[in-house]
Amino acid sequence: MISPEVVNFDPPRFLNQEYTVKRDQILNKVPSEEFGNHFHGITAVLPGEIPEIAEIQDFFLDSIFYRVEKFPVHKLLEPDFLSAFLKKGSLDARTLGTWSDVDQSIIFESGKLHLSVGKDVYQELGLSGHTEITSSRKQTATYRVTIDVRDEKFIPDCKYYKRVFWCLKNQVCLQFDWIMSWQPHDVDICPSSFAAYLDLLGFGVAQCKPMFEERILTQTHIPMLHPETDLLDVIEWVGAAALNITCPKEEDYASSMICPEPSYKSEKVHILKWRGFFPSSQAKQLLGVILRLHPEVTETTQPAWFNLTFHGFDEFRTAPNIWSVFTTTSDACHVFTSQTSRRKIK
Amino acid sequence: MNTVQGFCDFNIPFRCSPTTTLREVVIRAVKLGYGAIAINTTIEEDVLITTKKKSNKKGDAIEDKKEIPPPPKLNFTQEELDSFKVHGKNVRILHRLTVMLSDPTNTQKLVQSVNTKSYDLIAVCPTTTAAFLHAVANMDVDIITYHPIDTKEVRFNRRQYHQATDRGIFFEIPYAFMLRDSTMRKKIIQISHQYHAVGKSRNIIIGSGAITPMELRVPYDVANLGLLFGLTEGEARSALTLSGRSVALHAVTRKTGKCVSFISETDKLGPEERWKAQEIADAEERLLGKPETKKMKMDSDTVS
Repeated sequence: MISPEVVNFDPPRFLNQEYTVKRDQILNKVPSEEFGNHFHGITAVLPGEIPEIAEIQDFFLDSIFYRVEKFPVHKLLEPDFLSAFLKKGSLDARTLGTWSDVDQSIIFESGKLHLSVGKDVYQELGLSGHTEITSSRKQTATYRVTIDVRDEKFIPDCKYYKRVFWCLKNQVCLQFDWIMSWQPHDVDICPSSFAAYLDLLGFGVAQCKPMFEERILTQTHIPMLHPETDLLDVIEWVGAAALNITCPKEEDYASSMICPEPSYKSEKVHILKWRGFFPSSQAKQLLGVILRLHPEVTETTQPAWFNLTFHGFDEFRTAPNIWSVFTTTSDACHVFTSQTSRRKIK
Repeated sequence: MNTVQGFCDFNIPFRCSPTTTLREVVIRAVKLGYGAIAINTTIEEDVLITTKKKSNKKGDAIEDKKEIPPPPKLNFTQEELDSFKVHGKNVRILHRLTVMLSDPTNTQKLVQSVNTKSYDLIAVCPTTTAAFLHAVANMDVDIITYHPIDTKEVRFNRRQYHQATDRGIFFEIPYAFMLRDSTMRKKIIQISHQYHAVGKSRNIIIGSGAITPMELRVPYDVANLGLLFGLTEGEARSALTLSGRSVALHAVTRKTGKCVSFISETDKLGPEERWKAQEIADAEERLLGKPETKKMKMDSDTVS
């Protein structure tokens, strides 16, 4: 056999996808389950004068999420909790501080509980699942178990429920720190009743609010979304703007970042950043607000676009990590997604 | 069943550099994210050679059986053990014995000694081709390792490599030697390429062999180093995680003999496994209709 290849290595593979969606359909398509469901950061880059910017700035002012410590999984499925918070309203929860290569991690979103477990835990767990990530030589590195909590069969009297509850209760290792957010189905119910309930059970609950940061750039060159421009160049410009990197029209000695052509000069660019825990429903609402505030096409205004980028968690590797939406004055919206991991590690 | 989880480094020598202590090395390994480590005691070949009635030649070893040392006791306080937790789970510290072997006939004492059985993992470092062939075909070990200085020349072909692989033996590539000297670096890359050429890099585990904390590397860096050894990315990643788990499992089966079922007393089960005893008791109650107290946990088929 010949010697192994030690010089020419392939760059790490990642999946970038770009496509165009019609404006009225975008809220249906994006965000959806394919795109990952929880985000830890949202960045909005809004060039131009926007009179109603206050609506966007104050969007996440009231949102609260909770950090719960040492919470075992089976407590999520206890009859009281199940009927009060899981079957009604929408709970989004995620385990914190787990290392996806080594530990188990759990996501709860849109009524489904997803467990990502290693081989030993999967064999002892006793619930059926399928392989999520395979390593070389067809060895399974991680298994994925999905339980639909909103299923009609999933009620405390049912055998399926009892089996699931018993299996999860036996695994002592499935105890984590969680980050959770609950939206009630009824306007009268306060979201903090969820935290109060957990506190009553004796778990350490800490209330957290998203961090908000705003910056306004003046007199900057902004690329136009032309049919011939490469969307990746504009994405790069957006990222540079969010990180406070200037992209002038001509190449500078110190840095080769320039504004992609064609471009126009704008008086103002608002850059808004939120850091926290955002379920996809809130992301959808924000996107709706942005679409609504988008200025109408007139002859005098420059062709403007707004950009909203969502940064997802990296743990569940089969969904895109980052997706970015450009809303334009025309009917089309451009969407860009990036996914850094894949199911099979060769 | 106690299996290891996470990244494994099964080669942390007990005799570390005089400038540091073993405790420092272990603490660093845990901080870097290893979930399972093994303290490696290396014995030279002269320990295995049976001396004929002149056992007083070596100063401290009087009886033959005392020459293979028992596993070293590591004194870690409870606070240190708690601080060792990686993401809330305790780090597993195993004990490993490595035998330097050049003559296949010297393995008698290894099998007979009482202290050998108290080690979790047993490894052999064959320094000649004859020793390698013996290790691959006959010896009851878990790991075949490599030492760039002591090994003279080892030649093997695909059939012999697969003999070891089929028995569940893993080939270890230690990386700390590469950090010390360029000649050793060349030799280790040479042997790893030989494993790749002959055996397609099956059953490879990467260990450190670090005698100072500075010679330890983060698991992801070691996985990248595996690319130099001719492993693909997935193989390198699994050389740290899944291979370690397989070696630990093989060690358990080696100690207990080839078995299919595992019997343990219900009183002695750990807290994570108590539910199994309870469930067996409940199942028996349902089947037989009366509570039975049985001390041994067995398959329900064998209950008469």
